[in-house]
Amino acid sequence: MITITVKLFSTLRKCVPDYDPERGIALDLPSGATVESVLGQLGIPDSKQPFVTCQGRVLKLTDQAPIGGTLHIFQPVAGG
Amino acid sequence: MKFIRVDMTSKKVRIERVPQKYIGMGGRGLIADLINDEVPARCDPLGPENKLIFAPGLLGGTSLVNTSRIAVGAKSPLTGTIKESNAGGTFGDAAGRLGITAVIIEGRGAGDELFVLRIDERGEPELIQASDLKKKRTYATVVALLDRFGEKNAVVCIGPAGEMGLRAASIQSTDTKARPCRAAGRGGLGAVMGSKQLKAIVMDLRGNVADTLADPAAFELAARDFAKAVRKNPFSRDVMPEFGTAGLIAPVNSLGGFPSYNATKGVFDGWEKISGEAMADMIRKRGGKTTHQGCAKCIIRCSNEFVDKRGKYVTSSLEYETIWSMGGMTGIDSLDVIARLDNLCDDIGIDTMSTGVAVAVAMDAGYKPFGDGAAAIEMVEQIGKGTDFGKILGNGPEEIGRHFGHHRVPVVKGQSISGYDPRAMQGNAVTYATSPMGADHTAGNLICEYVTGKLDPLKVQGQVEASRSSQISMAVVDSIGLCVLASPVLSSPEGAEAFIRAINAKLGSNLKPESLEQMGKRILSAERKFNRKAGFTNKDDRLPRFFYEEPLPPHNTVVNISEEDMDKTLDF
Ligand code: SF4
Repeated sequence: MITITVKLFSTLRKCVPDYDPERGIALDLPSGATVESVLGQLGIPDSKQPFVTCQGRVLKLTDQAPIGGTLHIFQPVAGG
Repeated sequence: MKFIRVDMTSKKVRIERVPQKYIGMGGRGLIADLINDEVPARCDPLGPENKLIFAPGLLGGTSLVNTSRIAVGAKSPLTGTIKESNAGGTFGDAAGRLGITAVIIEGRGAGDELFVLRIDERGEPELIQASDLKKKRTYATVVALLDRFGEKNAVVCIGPAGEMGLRAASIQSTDTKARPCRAAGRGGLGAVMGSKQLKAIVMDLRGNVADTLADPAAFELAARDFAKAVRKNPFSRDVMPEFGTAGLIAPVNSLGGFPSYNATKGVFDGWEKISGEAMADMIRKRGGKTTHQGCAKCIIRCSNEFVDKRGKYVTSSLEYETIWSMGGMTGIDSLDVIARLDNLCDDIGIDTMSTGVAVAVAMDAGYKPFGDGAAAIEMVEQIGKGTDFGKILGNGPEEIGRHFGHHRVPVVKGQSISGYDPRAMQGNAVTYATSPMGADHTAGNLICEYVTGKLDPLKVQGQVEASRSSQISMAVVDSIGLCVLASPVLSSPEGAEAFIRAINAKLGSNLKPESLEQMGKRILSAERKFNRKAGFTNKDDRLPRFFYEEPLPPHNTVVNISEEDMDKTLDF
């Protein structure tokens, strides 16, 4: 098992009941779990077009969730 | 289709038919051609030869959603280049519904009188003495003007900064609640308006003589499909109404590209306190509005109304670029202070971005400590009062950098960068360097490509192409009058298709997607042509040295795009 912390942003905060924006969510995952499985476990639907960053980089769905890392999950944004 | 031409030297106002060569043009594209044709490139931007042009987009005044931008253009006193800066609100739509293609302000009077241009519900213009409005801030100016001309008017106006000719002065535009809180902020166009002795334009909102559409039925259908595509897009449907552009604070910090403490760090220490999420929670708790329709014809509603602890209006709309410049750059982590600074800038009529960056440069130079909110408010107040220091600050970051002999001044062609550090987002480095407007936040911003993982922001590969393509499409968007926040829908096939169908139904044309690309290239080339005549060369398409030399944490990268690559960007 590995543990990661997840922080949700924009309307994704509503995907998890009683989400605490300060602490985020601690998740226990089987080692080798992918970003995609994290999204699945949190119940974030594809229709929200989520994207995930860790340590300043955007991760692919097939990337492994980093042990002990913090994932940030967003919806798409554009500038203005 | 008509031009309203106002000669401030003779005080004569006339209505002209639009010459054939400008038909089918609007907004930024029209401005590019008009300035090339009518303004001597080497003229003094604040002298009588410069012209200030207000042009709604090609689809302004139609039923197409989110097309109420008003483009404002001139030779810029801040950058020395051609400039187009556009604002939301109700003015662009009002102009379109009066069948006005452009209002052209030229010449310059003697003495120190001040005037207002009033355009009534039939589109008849009249120049009116308004010296009583001298030195009035913009909120008070609008109250006085609506009192005089009635509530059913849109207003664009300048504040004391524009009257003083400060090079970061903005032109403020009224929102749907008649507050001058929308801005054509960039390039110091407020100073050009001040130099013309024009305090405001008051345009009737009841116009009903928009240009005829070549095929009204096809237009309605296209407009319906376009609105459907906007409503389907998760960005405009979910994120914008809830957080507005402030929703960018979290992702840009997470990518390490949020220029902080005068661009010495890429992550702001207190970013979760000033994020869109924190702002929305705060506004909701205090009984303010996280969403409202700031601009005519908007179905996205990115705007908010920020209120204080007692629920009293402070500003609208608190947006990403202002939170960045007044917060991230200055080290101020209080949304209350940032909101106050935003309102102060709107009221004085000065660009929040250039001003926040100028404050940050002063702090970096040791004038005041980073994070000192009271000092920042006091500094901006000095602009409104017109003190010597206030005037230096109001002329933007470059002038304040010179004043303090400070080297770290994040500007290109004299205009501050926006809230994306070019060292952490290499394609935005390309846009900042090569845009004919100087560094700019809407000229070709690649944040969407970065967050969706389409492009690696730190690699050189693909950045020039992405910047080029984004700059081309933004030139089109700014000419049609579409809000940039509706523009992501153009990357969906149904959105792009409906958009072009709407243009064709208005003009009776048969434009294809390639034709829009041609249009964008033509506009950029026209803008570059003007800049060449004004004395700019490729050597000016560079970032300040420190972006190439001082690595930005956390990625510790510098700008890596070669000069040769920069020069290829807009070399069509
Ligand atoms: S999305 Fe925001 S800026 Fe764009 S038209 Fe709507 S209110 Fe105005």
